Amino acid sequence: MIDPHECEPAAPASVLVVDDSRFSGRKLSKAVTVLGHRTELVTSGAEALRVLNDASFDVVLLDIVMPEMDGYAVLASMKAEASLRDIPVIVVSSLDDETESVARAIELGAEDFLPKDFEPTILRARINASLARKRFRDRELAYLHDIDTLTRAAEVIEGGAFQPAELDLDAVTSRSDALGGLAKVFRNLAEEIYDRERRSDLTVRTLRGTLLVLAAGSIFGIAPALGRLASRNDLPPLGVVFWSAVVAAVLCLAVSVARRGLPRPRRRDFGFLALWAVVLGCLYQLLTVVIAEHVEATMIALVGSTRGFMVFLLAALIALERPSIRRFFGLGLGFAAVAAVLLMRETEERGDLLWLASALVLPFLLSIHTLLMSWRPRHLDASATVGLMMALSALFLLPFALAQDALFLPSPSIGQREMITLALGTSTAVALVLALNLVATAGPVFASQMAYSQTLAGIAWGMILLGESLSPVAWGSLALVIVGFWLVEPKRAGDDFRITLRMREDK
Amino acid sequence: MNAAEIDREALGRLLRILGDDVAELEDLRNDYMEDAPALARRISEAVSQGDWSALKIAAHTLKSNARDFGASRLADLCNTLEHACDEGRPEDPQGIAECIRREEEAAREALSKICLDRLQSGA
Repeated sequence: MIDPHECEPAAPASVLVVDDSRFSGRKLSKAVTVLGHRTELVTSGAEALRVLNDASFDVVLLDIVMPEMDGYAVLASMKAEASLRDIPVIVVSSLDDETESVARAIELGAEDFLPKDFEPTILRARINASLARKRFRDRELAYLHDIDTLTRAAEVIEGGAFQPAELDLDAVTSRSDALGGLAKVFRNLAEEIYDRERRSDLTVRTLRGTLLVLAAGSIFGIAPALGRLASRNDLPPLGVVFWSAVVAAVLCLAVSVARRGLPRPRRRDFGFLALWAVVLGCLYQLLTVVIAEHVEATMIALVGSTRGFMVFLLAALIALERPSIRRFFGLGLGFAAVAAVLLMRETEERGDLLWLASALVLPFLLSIHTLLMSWRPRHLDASATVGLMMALSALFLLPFALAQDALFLPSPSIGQREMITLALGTSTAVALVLALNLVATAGPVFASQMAYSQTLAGIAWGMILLGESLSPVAWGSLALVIVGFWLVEPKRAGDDFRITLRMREDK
Repeated sequence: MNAAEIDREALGRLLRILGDDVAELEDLRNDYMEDAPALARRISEAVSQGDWSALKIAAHTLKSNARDFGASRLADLCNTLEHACDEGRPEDPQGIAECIRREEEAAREALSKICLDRLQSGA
């Protein structure tokens, strides 16, 4: 509620004196100044309107009889303009013979009148009364404006999506009355809901990210084992990688066309797709198969776990994500868990040192691939993006495969060669689609933990496809890797995070 | 014509309105001394041109100023002329304008002789 007694009519005010007579205007100005107010004197109606539009006044003392634009015309103009309508006007008149003029001015909206031969006490009383009404009206308008602000804030929340800053309630919460209290409660509740939804979003992202890390890593981890199988069957690496790229491209594009119709890439997307095709579809895939000829799959998997650190460092260097001790510790825990399981495992065959060192290129390429995925074209769905990238990879690999005479023709009766090619193409397609979703959900640093699930999966696939067994230590290490997931946390929702609320409908 | 009389009570009220600021009253009197003959001239010109609107405004302004400075006879003459303008063409406007001119001169002379400092002390 607005308390009219809280107004201070005696506080200094700004008064405009309008009188064409230099003498009368000056007398009136001086009299008002003596009362402690500020005055500005103008000598015509037109000048009065100009000054009123340029500066703020609390009261206008207006002479009626003036040449050109008289007091009535000034009053009518003021009442017609919203910004001037609420300024109280006291008309100055010779009361003895201008009663009708005064009555007309009051009908036009004048607040009060003052005789020309006024007494100082009368002037004080009339100015104070007008000021009290003006200040009460100002407070009333401010109150209504604040209610309007609060209502708009409620509408923003009711609209379904909001950020606390959009509520714009600072001015209302600074009030010391009940409305200010209500605004504070309202804003606190809105902030509480926003924080709760943001925490909930983080939990959902973590869970989804963890599942995607496990799924994509497990599927992608099969590549070294398949590469080793290919080398055991004397399959040309370029031919295997080319046909697996064709399989992945056909599979992804078929899914994309079935779900959303033909993908429509833009010209600028091809820069990203070509770079990604070179890094992943050509170099990574080819080097995996080539290196797997010389290094056992489990060792490739071990070296692959360094990818987590590489992505972490690259993301920090290019300021893609904020580094933190907690994240560093989480990645280190995952790395230590993987190292432990491999160091405790007896290896029967190791590639020579040069090939083992060259295997470090694979996690490096995967790090670049992980970061590249952050810049994927958003208007293309994951299947279309992977399909187009793998098609480009096949296109890039084709001349090399032809030149090397590595382009075998798949047989209609599916043998081991076709199975390896199909498995490599399918696993690559599925893992990459999942990885794209993972980067979008949890950010590249969290996605880099795929290195651990991929490492453990690489070991597991090696054991399954190459006849090895899984030790209890490997299971323990898997548990440590999962703890590492929680320490790294997915990318937090940024400041642009907007929560969406479903409002309950009134029945 | 009799010498104009100045209503000292009106002057005292004006001084109170000005917060007993004699210097300000002195300045205002100087303004009056400059403005009053100009207004009287404007009245004569308006009469000769038959511009009743300008005549009314000039008479109204001089009436207010004269009343503030206690020149009651001058204020009454102006009031008569102003009201006559309201009702249409005034009767014998030249005669009234001439009366106003003479009364204005007399009032100004009387006002110039008043020592404003003595008003404050109530003398």
